[in-house]
Amino acid sequence: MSFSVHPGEVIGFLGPNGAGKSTLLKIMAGLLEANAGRVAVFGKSVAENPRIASMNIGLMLENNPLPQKLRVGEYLRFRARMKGIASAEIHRHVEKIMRYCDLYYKARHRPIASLSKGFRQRVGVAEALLGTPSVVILDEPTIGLDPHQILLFRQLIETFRGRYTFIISSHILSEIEVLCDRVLILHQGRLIADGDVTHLRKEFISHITLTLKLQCDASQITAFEKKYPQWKYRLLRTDVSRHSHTLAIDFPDQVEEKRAVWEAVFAYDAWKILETEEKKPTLEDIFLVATRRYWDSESLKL
Amino acid sequence: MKKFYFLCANELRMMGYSSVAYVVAVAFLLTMGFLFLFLLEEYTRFAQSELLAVAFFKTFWIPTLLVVPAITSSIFANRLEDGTFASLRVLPIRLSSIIMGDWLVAYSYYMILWTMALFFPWITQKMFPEVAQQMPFFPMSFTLGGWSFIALSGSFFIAIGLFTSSWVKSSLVSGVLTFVLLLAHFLSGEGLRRWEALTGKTFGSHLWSPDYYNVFLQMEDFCRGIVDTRVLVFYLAGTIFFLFLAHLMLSRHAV
Repeated sequence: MSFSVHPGEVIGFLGPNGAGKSTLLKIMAGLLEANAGRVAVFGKSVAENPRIASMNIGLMLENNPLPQKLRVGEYLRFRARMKGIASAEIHRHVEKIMRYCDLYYKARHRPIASLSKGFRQRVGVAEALLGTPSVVILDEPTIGLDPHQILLFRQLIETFRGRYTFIISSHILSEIEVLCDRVLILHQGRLIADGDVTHLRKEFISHITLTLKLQCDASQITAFEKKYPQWKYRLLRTDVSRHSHTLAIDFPDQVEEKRAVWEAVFAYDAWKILETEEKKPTLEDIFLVATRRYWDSESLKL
Repeated sequence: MKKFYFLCANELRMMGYSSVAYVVAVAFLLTMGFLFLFLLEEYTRFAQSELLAVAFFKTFWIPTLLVVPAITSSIFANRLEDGTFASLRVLPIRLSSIIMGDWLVAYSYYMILWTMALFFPWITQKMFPEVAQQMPFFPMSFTLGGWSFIALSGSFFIAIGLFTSSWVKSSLVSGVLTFVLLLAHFLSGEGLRRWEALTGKTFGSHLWSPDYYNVFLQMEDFCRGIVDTRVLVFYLAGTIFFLFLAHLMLSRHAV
C-alpha cells in the first residue's frame, strides 16, 4: 500500500479485524519495524530516524493504556517533559492542552483510575496533543464510549480540525464518516480504497436508493417495473393485511435520473404513497462493497 | 540525561503511590528487626565465634528472597500486561534508558531499606548501652563491609528481577522466577561446598572454586574488609548481563 497524508487532514482508517490497521499505525509511530516498505515523516524515514516519529507524531494507542495511580496533571506534565518541552513552558503548555480537552477544571487533580472512560479518552487525546506534534494518531478512540461521550469526542476533534493532522482508526463507521476528510479502507494488509466519502461512493456504489412504502396490489408494482426497466427494484417487505409494500428503487446518482424517478413515482396513480425515503449509500455500505469486491477478486485469482 | 532524570523521578513517584512499596518496607523491617532481636538474644546468652555484625549481615538472603521479587516483579510485567510499556516506548527515549531508570529506582529503594535496617543496632546501642558495653557490637569497618556487599550483590539481584519481569507478562510468575533464581544462587555455592565435604570430591580448578560463588563466604570476606576482585567482577558482570537480557526481551516483545 502507498498513501500520503497532507497537513491538516483528518484521515479515517477502516478495516475488518485483522486488516492491519493497528500494526500500520504502530509502524507509522515507530513502535514496530516494518518487514518491507518505508514510512516517512517530512520525507525522513521513520525506521532510519526513530526520533522523527517520536518528535512529530502523537499517538493514542488502542485501549488507551494509562498509569492508573498518577493524577492527570502529573501524568501530562511527565509526558510533556519527556517530549522535550522546555521546563519554563511545561505548566503553560499542559494547562492549555488540559483546557482544550476540558480536563483542567474537572479532572486535573484526579487520579486516572478514578476517571470515567470518556475522560480517560480525553487524557489519551491530550497526551497525544502534547508538544504540538504534526500528526496525531488515534487508534480506536471511541471504543467503549457511550453516544454522549462519542459526541463530546467528536466535538473535541472538531476543535482541533485544521490545526493538527489526524489519523483515526475506528470500527464505528458513522464516526469516521462524520469526522474524516478522507477514508482509507484496509483489508488483509492492503489498501483497497482511498478517498473522500463522495469519491468512494462514486467508485463503489454509484446509485441512490429511494425507498417507498406503498398501498397497492403487487401486480401494480410489477407493472411499474416493466414500465421503467432502467432502474433496479427490490421488494423489501409486504404486509398482506394492509395491502402495503415496501419497495426500494436503485437509480444512478445523477440529477436527471433523480428527477425522472421522483416524477415517475408520483405520476403513477395505481398506488398510494404512504412514505418515501431517499438514501445515499453510507460508509458502511461502501465498506461492505469494497471488502466484498476485494474478496471476489482474490477468490477469482485462486 | 535530563529525560533520564525525569523518567527516574516519575518511577519514584509511581513507587510512592504504590501500596506494595509500603507493605514491602514494613515486612522487610519487621523481618530484619526480628532477626536482629533473635541474634542479639543468642549473643547475650552464649559466646559466639563471629561478630554479631557478621551474623546479622549473613541473614541478608532471607529478606532478599522476599523483597527483590516483590519490588521487581511488577516493573515490566504489569506494564507489558496493561499496555503502558508501549506508551512509554512512544516517547523519545531509548529502551536502555527506561531499563536503567527502573533498575536505578528499584535498586535505590532496596538500598534505602537496608540502610534503614542498620538503624536497629544503632537504636539498641543508644537505648541499651550496657548491652553494647558487654560485647563488640557493630564495628564501623564490619558494618561498612557488610553494607558494601549488600550494595554490590543487590545490583545483581535487582537485575535478575528486572530480567524475569521483562520475560513474562504476569507479575506473579515473574516473582516466582526471581525467587527461584535467587534461591539457586544462594544455595549453589554453599551446596557445592557441602557436597565436596560429603563426597570428598573437589569441584573447580586452581583458577576457580565453588567458594567464589558462596554468598555467605563472600559476605564474611566483605565484613572483614577482604574485597576479592573476582566477586566484584562476577556481580558487576552479572548485573550487566541480566540487564542486557532484559533489553533483549523487551525489544522483542510486540507492543
